[in-house]
Amino acid sequence: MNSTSVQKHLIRNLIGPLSRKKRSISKGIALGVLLFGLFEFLSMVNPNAPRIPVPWLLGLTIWISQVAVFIKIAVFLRYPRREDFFFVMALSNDQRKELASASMLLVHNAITPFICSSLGTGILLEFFVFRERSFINLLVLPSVVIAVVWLIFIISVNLLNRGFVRPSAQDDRRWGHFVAFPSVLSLLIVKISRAIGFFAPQKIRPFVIRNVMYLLRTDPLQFLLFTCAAPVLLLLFMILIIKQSSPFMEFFTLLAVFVINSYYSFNLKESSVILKRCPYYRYDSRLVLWAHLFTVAIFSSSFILVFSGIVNVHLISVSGMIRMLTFLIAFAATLFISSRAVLHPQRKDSESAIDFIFFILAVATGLFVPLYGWIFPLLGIVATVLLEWETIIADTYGQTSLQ
Amino acid sequence: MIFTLENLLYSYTKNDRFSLGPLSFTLRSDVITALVGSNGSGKTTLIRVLLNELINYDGVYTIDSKPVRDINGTVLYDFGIGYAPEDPLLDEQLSGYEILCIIKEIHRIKDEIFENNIAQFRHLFQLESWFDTAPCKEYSQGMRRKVSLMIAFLSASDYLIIDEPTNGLDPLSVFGIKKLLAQYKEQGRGVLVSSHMLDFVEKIAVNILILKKGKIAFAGTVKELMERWPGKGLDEIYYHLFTSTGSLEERPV
Repeated sequence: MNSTSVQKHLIRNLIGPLSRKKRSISKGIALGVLLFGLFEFLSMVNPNAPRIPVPWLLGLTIWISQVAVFIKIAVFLRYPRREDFFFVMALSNDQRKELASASMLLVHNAITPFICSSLGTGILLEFFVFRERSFINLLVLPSVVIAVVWLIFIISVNLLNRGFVRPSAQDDRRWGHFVAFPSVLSLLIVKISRAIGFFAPQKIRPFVIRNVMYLLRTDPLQFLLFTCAAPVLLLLFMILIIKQSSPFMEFFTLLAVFVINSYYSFNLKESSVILKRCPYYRYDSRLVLWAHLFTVAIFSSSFILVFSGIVNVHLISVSGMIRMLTFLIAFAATLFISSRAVLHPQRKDSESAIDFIFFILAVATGLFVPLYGWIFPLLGIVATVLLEWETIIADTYGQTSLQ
Repeated sequence: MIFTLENLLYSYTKNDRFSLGPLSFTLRSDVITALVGSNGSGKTTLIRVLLNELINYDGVYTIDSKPVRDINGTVLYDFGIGYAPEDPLLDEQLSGYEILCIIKEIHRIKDEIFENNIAQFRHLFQLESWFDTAPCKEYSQGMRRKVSLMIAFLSASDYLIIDEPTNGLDPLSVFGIKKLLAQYKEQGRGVLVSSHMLDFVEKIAVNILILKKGKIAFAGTVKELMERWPGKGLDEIYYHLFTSTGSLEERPV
């Protein structure tokens, strides 16, 4: 197998088959027509329907997908699964770096014609159908979207090439005998973990501290990106695009929390295997679940602040309070749904799709139902607890680890 | 705390040629007991039975008159036992210091006591920057052993069980363990230490339990054993015991 076919094989199995140029362009045109029709034409017909600028929506989707692809490739090249990609395990760190960069390039080459054609379709529709004559809306906005797509690609490749994100668990970026963090950073990890643990109830505190240490140790850069940069991006997105009264505010906030929690769960799922094996940790699935929920709630608190900060004007009313209540219950449901992974360290990635369906049914549906929407996420929490009840009851006090 | 075994018999499979027991003895938690025996004599199996890791045994095993089989929870945590296994199990992504910070929280150890313990460990085990900065997956065998021992020492509020503690350790760290165990001895705290290093056992242990093919060859004090062969060292006595067909009288430790 030569290197190009290895990359293609890897991409096909990780992300799915990539379309050829012609197919990408036709898909882009179709999506452009669909999105512009759905969001812009609808607002022309019905003035009450929110008008969401499609270039932003498209751009945001592509940017999130790019970051997701980058994470998936980087994480996978660190922990290849024996049954799927045995060959990756035999690759050296440099070969993995090369493979990761080349794979990112393949993905970039596939999505560029797609996004260009959909934006092109959008420009034509705006110009001819909606009679849009604003230079900024017609040319500047799409150019910014494409520039950011290119920027994310360049940053991801550089992060991999320069070794900021290690493509293999044991690499050659060594000083002294082993891969170590500088002592200041190590001390900082301990301090941060203990500071966060201080706010946790005594029973779950050891697990919370371990979660934070583990997340900071495995990928400090991605951790910073998700916890600090994502809320800022979301804030910008909300200020620029969405109306304060739109339920899309809640939806995008919780979608961001769901995606980030899924990423954390992926890392913590791996750590649960060790947690179960080490008898001195006294594994208890109930405590592990609560600790995970607490950890992610702390890290997602910035999203709650962003949300409450932006919609604060609307909160001083009964409907506003119901809206906030619905948001908070939906937030809890999002955490519960995406935390299921930590209880099943051996589960397959495909099962994450079930979590997403759960999220859409329980959280997204609830957000768009006025007044009684909070019932849906509440049912989501109940359903998750019932679904996981047996695991929670069976795996307590290290019973499974000690046989 | 008293561990009591009465006619305890364990074998891994039905047709297994090796079986542990029948064993009857008691272990007190205020003295250091050495567990000695040749390879495959059942030392690690006995430790795993004591920790309730292996439960399909015949006979009776109690801790403070409580049948261990009925205990709903881990023996390690519920009885304040620290355990360092022969093959250290570590949290591979975290550094040694980070693991100890978590252990501190699990056992709710006060900050001052924790810091004193860490300072002592740093001194006795000659811990360098790797202990704070590198993840355990990068550690050598000796480093892993040190971290495993520190976890056990820190977790042991009532009793300590260590399996082959000197394996892979440098002479300075072996000296460090001896000093730590000597402190335990002075404080009247209990330890069960399994080891092949007989000079190490001779210096630190009060009681000795010698296993031969899964059965007790001797159980008593080190002093008693030495008195039976006056003028001979423990290694010579051990050699005699394992090359002759006879075994010594069995009695409670």
